[in-house]
Amino acid sequence: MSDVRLSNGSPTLERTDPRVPDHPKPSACRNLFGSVDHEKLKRDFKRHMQEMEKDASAKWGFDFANDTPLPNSRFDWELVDCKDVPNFYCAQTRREKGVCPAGNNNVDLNGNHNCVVAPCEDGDRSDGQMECTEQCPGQRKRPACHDPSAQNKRSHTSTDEVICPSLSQSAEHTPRKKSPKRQT
Amino acid sequence: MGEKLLCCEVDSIRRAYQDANLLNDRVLLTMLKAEEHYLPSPNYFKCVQKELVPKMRKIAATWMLEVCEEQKCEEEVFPLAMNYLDRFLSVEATSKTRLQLLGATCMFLASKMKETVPLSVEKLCIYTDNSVHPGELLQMELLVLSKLKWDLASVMPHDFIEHFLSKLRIFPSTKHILRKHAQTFVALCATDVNFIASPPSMVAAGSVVAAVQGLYLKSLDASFSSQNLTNLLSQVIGSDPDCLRACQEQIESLLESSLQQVQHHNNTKEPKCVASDADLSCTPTDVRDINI
Repeated sequence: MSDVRLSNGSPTLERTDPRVPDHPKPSACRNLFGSVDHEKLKRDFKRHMQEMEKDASAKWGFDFANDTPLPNSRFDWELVDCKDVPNFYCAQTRREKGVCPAGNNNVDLNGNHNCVVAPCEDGDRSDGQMECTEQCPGQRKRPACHDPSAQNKRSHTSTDEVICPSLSQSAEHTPRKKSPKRQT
Repeated sequence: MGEKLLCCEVDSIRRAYQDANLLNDRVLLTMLKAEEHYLPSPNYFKCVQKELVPKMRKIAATWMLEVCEEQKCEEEVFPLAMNYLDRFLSVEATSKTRLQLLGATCMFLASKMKETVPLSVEKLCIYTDNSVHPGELLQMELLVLSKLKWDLASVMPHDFIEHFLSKLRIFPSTKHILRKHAQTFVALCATDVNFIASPPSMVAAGSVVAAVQGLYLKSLDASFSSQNLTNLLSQVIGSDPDCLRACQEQIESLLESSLQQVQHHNNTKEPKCVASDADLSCTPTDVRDINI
C-alpha cells in the first residue's frame, strides 16, 4: 500500500528501528482474532479517507484532491512561493508529494490543526469573515509562520538536513482570510 | 548520531528531568478538570460495539502489555494506548478481526507520544504475526487520529502519581519503588474493563494506596497508615474516602486474581506480573522492580 500518508513523526516504512536489539519473541507474535479481510479493510479505509477529505474540504473551502480552492470559499486562497514559507511547510509538501501522490491531503489538518479555526465554523457564511478575524486573532497558522524559533524546532523533528528539495520549489496554496484586516 | 547512541544504551534510556515546577496544586487542579475530557464511554460494549465483548478487550490488552514490556516501552505507553483504544471504541463500531490492528495502532501512537525512540510500524506488524500490513497500520493511524479529534494528550494516572508522591515525605529510594509498584497497578487496571470509566486520578490514588499497603510502608510512618493516606489522597483528588477505598480494594482483588492466573500459566508462559513467590497477597512486586 504505497498510497499511505505518513503522519508527522512517523518513522518511514524503510526505517528498521534498532531500539531493542533482540528480535520479537515468537510467543508474543501472534494473530489474536483471525485473519483480516484486507480487501474490505482497504475499501473501508478509502471510505473513511473520503469522508475526512470531504470534511476538510468543507472546513477549508479547498479541494485538496485537485489542489484548487472551492468556489464561494470563506477563505481567499493565494499562491505563495515555497521559498517564502517556513521550512516546516516545505518539508511537509516534499514528503507528502513524494511518498504518496494520491489525493488524500488531509494532513493539512495535521499541521494546521483544524480545531484552531473551529470557532469560526459557527459563523454565518456571509458575515462570517468579519467574525472570524475578530474572534480568532490567535489563529495558529499564521503566527507560527512569523515565529522562526517555533518553526525551526518543528522542522527539526521531521526533516533533518534535507530542506527544500526540488519538489518544494513548487508553489503552494496558502489560505488567507478575505478580510485583509490582520494581514501584515 | 544520537539515535545510534540510544540504541546501544538500552539500559539508560534518556528522559527529560522531572520538572519540579510542574508539581504544584495549580497544575494538579487543571489536570483534575481536564481528565474527564479523555474518559472513554463506560458502556461502549453495549451501546456502540456489535461484535466486541469485554473478553476480547482483555485478550488484546494482554497482548499489548506483552509487546510493550518486551520492547521495554516507557511505563506510560501501555495505559495511554489503552486509553486511545477505549476512546476509539467509544465512537466507532469495530469488528473483532480489526481489534488487533487497532491495538497495534494505539501502541504506535502512544509510543510516539511518550518515547524518544518510538516503536516502528514494521515491528508492530511482526507482533501481529504479520496479519496486519504496515500500510494498513498507517492508514489506521490516520483514522484513529481523526476519531480522537487529534487530541492525544490524555491525562493519565501516571501524571497524578508524580503529584501524589511529591506530597509524601519519603526517601527517594522508597519513592522509586513506590512509583514502580503504583505504575504496575495502573497497567493492571488498564487491562481490566471495570476500570474503563474510572477517572485517572482515582486509579492513580487507588494504586498508590495499594502500593503503600503492599510495601508495608505504614511501619515507617503513621502518615502511611491506610486510613491517613486514603484521607489525604481523597482530599487531594476531591473525592470521597470511601470511593477511594473501594477503588483500592478493587485493585487489590484484581491483582490477586491475575496473580492466580499467572501462577496457572507459570510453567508454559513467561509471567507478566509476578509477585515474589514468598507472600502473594501483600507483596505486589513486579519482577521488573526487584533489580532496580
